[in-house]
Amino acid sequence: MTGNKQSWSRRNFLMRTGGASAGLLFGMAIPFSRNMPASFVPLELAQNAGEIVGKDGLTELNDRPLNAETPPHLLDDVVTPTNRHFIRNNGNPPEDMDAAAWRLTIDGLVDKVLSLSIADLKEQFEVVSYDLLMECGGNGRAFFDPPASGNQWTYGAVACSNWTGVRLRDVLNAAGVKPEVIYTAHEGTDSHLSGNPDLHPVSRGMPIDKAMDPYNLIAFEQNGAALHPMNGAPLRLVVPGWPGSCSQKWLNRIYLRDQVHDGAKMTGTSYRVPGYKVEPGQSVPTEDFKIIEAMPVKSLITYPETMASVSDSTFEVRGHAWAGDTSITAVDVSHDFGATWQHAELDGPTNRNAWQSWRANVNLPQKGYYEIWARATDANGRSQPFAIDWNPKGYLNNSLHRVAVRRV
Amino acid sequence: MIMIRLFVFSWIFIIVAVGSVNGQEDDYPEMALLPQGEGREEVFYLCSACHSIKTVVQQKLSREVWDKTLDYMVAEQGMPELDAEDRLKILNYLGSNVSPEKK
Repeated sequence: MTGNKQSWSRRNFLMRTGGASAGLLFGMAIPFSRNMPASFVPLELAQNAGEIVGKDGLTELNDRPLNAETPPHLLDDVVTPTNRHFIRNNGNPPEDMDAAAWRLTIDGLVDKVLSLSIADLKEQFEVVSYDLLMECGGNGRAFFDPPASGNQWTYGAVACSNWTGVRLRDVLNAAGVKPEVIYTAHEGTDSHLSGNPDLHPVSRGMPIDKAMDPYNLIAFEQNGAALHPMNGAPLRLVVPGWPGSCSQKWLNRIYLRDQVHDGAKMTGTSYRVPGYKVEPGQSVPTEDFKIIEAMPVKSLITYPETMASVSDSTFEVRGHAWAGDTSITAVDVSHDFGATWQHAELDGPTNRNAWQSWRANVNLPQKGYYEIWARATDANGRSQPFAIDWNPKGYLNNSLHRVAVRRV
Repeated sequence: MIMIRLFVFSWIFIIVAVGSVNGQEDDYPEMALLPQGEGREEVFYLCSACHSIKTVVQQKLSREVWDKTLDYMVAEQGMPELDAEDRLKILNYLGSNVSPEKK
């Protein structure tokens, strides 16, 4: 067994970039930087060991592979800043993220194999920007009882950044989709944790009908700048509203298939739930699991932060709501454990597949402990449940978000 | 300024170096994440060969789910097949030390 013990920490960032660019982080030069040993970590940075360069306030669940989520109150922005976008890595990120040398191959069942640089993408296809919702399929797993295996995400493996790129559909059409194609298959340049070069950390795909949706992007910008290295720089797929794993990072190949893709984390019980309702803790045969497609209706309270103390009897509660492939039609808020509900003011999405912001003025009649609950309803009439719809692998927890508030 | 930091760093380096003679916990700080118990070292070396021990301890799974997880690691994640005795030792450790009751 070979173990690759690298992680994208400050330490690692320095090892890759060298002392001179480390000085950029201090905002000043380091005159004797060339005397620093190769793996040397200046104290200024060592004190922040564990922090992720270019991210702010994320909770790290794991550092190898790196997985980090954002506390709900740091997701208050309508468009999620790059430094607040969660990280879900399945393997080791690539060493090489050079945008100028990057190539994307489109092959498999196409009329013409394409090999495109990022400059080619920009020249040959229309460049568009959208605010796109991305949520990890396992967001909320931490609350499963009995517990489910995998990263124990709480609330914050979700984000809605502004992504710029070209439409996946346009690129597939340029390659020519053969009539027998039913599924896409995606590959990136990250490597498997075991060090085995024959294993992909993750290679997922989607039905060709979904792939042709005009809101899927091959993205090279996040919030108007280069992608964050841990969010897939320099090129990634963004498939909004479906499990984040469909949105391949460090994307270098898409191939088209006449069968459901059977790449890493497509098979078995990965990103799958039973095809029928099960009892918590029930053992389900693997063949009864179905691939997750659109993520369910959900909302997040981003203000106030849970456990906040408020001194005014009336204050604004706000957040966002989203639903996989559809839109939100209502958000309701309760401050009395669900006995009564009030309608929140709800914004439309900035574009299809963006989350929608909402707000409500809540009145807490007297001092004491309260819980604020939010419940979204989508255009198909589905609302968030109070209880978790338990499944063995801990996916799709869309139970309503509760925050504690003390009126003092 | 940086010279002062270098000076301080060299002391920290010496303290760490001296500390590490006290045992493997200093060489492998992640070892400390695993509670004491029969099979602890085996779990540490097996799991941390590929991923952080944080992956293990953030999950509090039943013995049954750990059993399935070990199968999954072998079938899909490149973990070597374990002999029956080691497998049982590791499963016993995880099932009793990294379990829902220890939450």
